Amino acid sequence: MNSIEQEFTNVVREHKGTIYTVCYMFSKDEDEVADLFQEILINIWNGFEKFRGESSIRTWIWRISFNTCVSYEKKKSRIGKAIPLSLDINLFDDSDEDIRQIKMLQKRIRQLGPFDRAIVLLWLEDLSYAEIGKIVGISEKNVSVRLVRIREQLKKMNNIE
Amino acid sequence: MINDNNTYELEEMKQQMLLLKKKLEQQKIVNEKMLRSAMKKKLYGLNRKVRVIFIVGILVAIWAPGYFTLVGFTPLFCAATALMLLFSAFKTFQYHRKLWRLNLSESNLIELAKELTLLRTRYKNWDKFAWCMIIPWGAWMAYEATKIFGEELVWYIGGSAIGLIIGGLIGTRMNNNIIRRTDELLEQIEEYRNQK
Repeated sequence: MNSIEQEFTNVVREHKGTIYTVCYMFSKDEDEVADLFQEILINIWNGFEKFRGESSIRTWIWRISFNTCVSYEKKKSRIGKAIPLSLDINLFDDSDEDIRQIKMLQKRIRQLGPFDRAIVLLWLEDLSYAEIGKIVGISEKNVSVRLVRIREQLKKMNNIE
Repeated sequence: MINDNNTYELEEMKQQMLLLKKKLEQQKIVNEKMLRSAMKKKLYGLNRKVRVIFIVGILVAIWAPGYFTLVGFTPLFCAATALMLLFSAFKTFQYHRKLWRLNLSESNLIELAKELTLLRTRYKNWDKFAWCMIIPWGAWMAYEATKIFGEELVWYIGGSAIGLIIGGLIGTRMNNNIIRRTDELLEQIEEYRNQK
């Protein structure tokens, strides 16, 4: 393994949770989550050598993950079946209470539009408004407004249930 | 900032997110399923290459004796040539038979590693084995050619030598390629076993 491959492996190892979380919140199909995960890794790898560190690696990975998930929907029909490259985890089976809680989170997030989904996920990751704004391309103020609307939307959904 | 008194849903989601993170932190990215798929691809490439070598070996074993008979070599030499080529093709088949049959989706990785190590050793020794056949065969061919070609002998021997060098280089390259592929597969298995 050369140094770039080693560095890439370390970055993926460190951020695998982030990547998987985005995939999981953008799809409820196990195979599709695995495909998305793989697609994101490919995109990270393709841009890895060009990454100049203008933003933090974490921000860069978030951006790639969101962009991949959003564009994946559009080209889904053109993608062939890939080799499964995923985490060895099953979050699609309601076997324990933790999984049920995680599925509830997935359900709530999936009810939002893709853009709001990205914002709420970043907020849940404890990113600052400035960082969220930088990743999704809106101002700090807009992030705050969006989050208030998202909260109202979630509250409404909760009441309906 | 969001008003903290009104963020029950978001706070609950934060807790749920922590649960998800906790689950994900315990996971490894490389899993056996993925490893087997990658190895399957590599093994498929290796097997395909060897199948081509095997088929070419059989075709040459059919063509060469006919050619040598037409040129005027003795029937014994033609038969020995055919036997040598068929033996090489058979040995190739024998070396790979188990790997062709191995179902990578189900079989034990230790069994696969054992087979690959054996294959690697055989290919490592194959060149010594091959030269032991080629040198006496070449000498025999040169001896018979002196009786057939007369003045044109130099050209015939020269052409044969060039053919032998090119063939030898291709063969050595293929041999090294197979050894490299088995090394890569063995490395992958080892890496997986260390991660486990």
